[in-house]
Amino acid sequence: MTTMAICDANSFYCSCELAFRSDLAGKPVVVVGNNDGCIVARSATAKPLLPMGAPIFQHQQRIKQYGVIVFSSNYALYHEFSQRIHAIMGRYTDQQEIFSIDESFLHLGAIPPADRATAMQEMRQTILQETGIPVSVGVATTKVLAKLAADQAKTTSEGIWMFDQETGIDQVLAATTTEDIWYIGTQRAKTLKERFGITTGLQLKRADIVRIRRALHVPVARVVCELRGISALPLQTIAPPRMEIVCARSFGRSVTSLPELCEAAAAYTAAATRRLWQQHSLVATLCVSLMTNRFREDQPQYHASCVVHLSRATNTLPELLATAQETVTRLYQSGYHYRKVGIMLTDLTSDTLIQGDLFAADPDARQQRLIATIRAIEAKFGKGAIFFAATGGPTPAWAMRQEHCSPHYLTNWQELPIARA
Amino acid sequence: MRRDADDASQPTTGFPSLAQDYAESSLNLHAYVVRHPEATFFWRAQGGGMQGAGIFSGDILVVDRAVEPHQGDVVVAAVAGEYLVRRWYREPEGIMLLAEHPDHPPLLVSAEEPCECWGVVVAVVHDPNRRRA
Repeated sequence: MTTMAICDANSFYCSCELAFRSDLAGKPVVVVGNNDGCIVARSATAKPLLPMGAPIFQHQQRIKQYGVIVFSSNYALYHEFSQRIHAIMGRYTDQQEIFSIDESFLHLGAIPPADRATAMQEMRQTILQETGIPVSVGVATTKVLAKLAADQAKTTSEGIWMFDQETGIDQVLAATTTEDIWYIGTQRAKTLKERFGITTGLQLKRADIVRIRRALHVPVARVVCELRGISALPLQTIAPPRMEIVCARSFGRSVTSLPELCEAAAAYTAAATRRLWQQHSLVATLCVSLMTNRFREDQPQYHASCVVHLSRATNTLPELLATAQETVTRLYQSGYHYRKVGIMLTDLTSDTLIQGDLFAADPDARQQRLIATIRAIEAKFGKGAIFFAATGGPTPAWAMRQEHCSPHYLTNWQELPIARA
Repeated sequence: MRRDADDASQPTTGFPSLAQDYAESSLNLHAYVVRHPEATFFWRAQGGGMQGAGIFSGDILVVDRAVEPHQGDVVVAAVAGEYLVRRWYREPEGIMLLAEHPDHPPLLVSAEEPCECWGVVVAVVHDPNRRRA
């Protein structure tokens, strides 16, 4: 029974960049990640030219030679397109798990088996027609097989692959290395090879599940089940709250002074705390890390981090800002060129307890009112309308570099795409 | 003040409002104009070639990609790496794009050249006093 589909966009970030740039159709396009550092997406024509994840500065020659167009990542744009494509996918299913910015698992049980291929083809056409974003669809009995089917779909012009016959599945599995199977990855693939001599998907499917579970634990055993067509990873239609929140970005330039580092740590703490509020959590542990630029081998290197256990679980920003800044001050060593500060909030719990205390005579009630006020102001006037002075404001000197960012076509009235009348 | 359909209206403190039972939700212009939210995009018009159709430079175009263009519809067309606002006609020789201004001659794009209807213009936002410019 082919009841599980995964739909994912082809070169999603690049497709978004091309949505309003018909002049670039067919040209090699790449998107680079934070600080214009490494390649995070490649158009079909850029794939043979440049490797994924490569630092862009190492390939300037090739980029020039082949006229590759480079975009900084424009997450406001990708987020908007993401919302739209997921909404369209939702029309074709009764149960949808939004798995990532450009992938959803779809339950097809409500569609008669004979109509599933047509429905998925229609969904693909609709997404392309309505948003301009091309997608691929993999259909199978389980999530792991659907993922593999989606990889196959990318090699066809129809953009759809259905695993509906055992022989077809085994043929593909025999040609797939374990590393390329969902969740397995490089490290586990190595263990599978060394301990069991397993290198292909088909070998893994036929492996002794008990021995696999002993050596590689339950998640890998689940993957084996899924390869056999037995569902072991059910749909998660409601996203569980994150167990940790990380905000770690590198700076636009190297930072040497303590006040600037403190400002960056405060800004990242504020960003992480905003996400904490969104998911209604409290944090009990804060990790702060500092690092220099590891690509600059000519410069002295320093990397330090510290885990701080707070006296009680909290969501109040002044307290978290103070802790982050104290910790940065403690870790700071002068004479280094810092490139990155990281803030991680872990030990998260639900904030319902503290909300119950809202009307009690608790000094915390003022803080909770402050949070509600900040959130209300941001909801009305946008992000950055209000900030703690410690965070350096909307555009601090150390901010991320984004030299090749496209306009915020979908989120700013001043940056709408232009049509010549 | 904007009221959404499920918001209760402000209660009166004195005599109860007789209109309360007849309250309907406020008119929502966005919902009226944007019929297909996933497929609707806003564009800025630049140039005077469509003045006859009531589109002026600086206007905001509401463009719907879920709508099929009929003969003569005002569309945003992608032609030779450029986006044009024009009336769209499918002709045996190719696509005919008509402006609405005497200075802009018709443009016939032969079937071999790339020309795509990017989306149909379903509304124009025009500020007659140019206060926003």
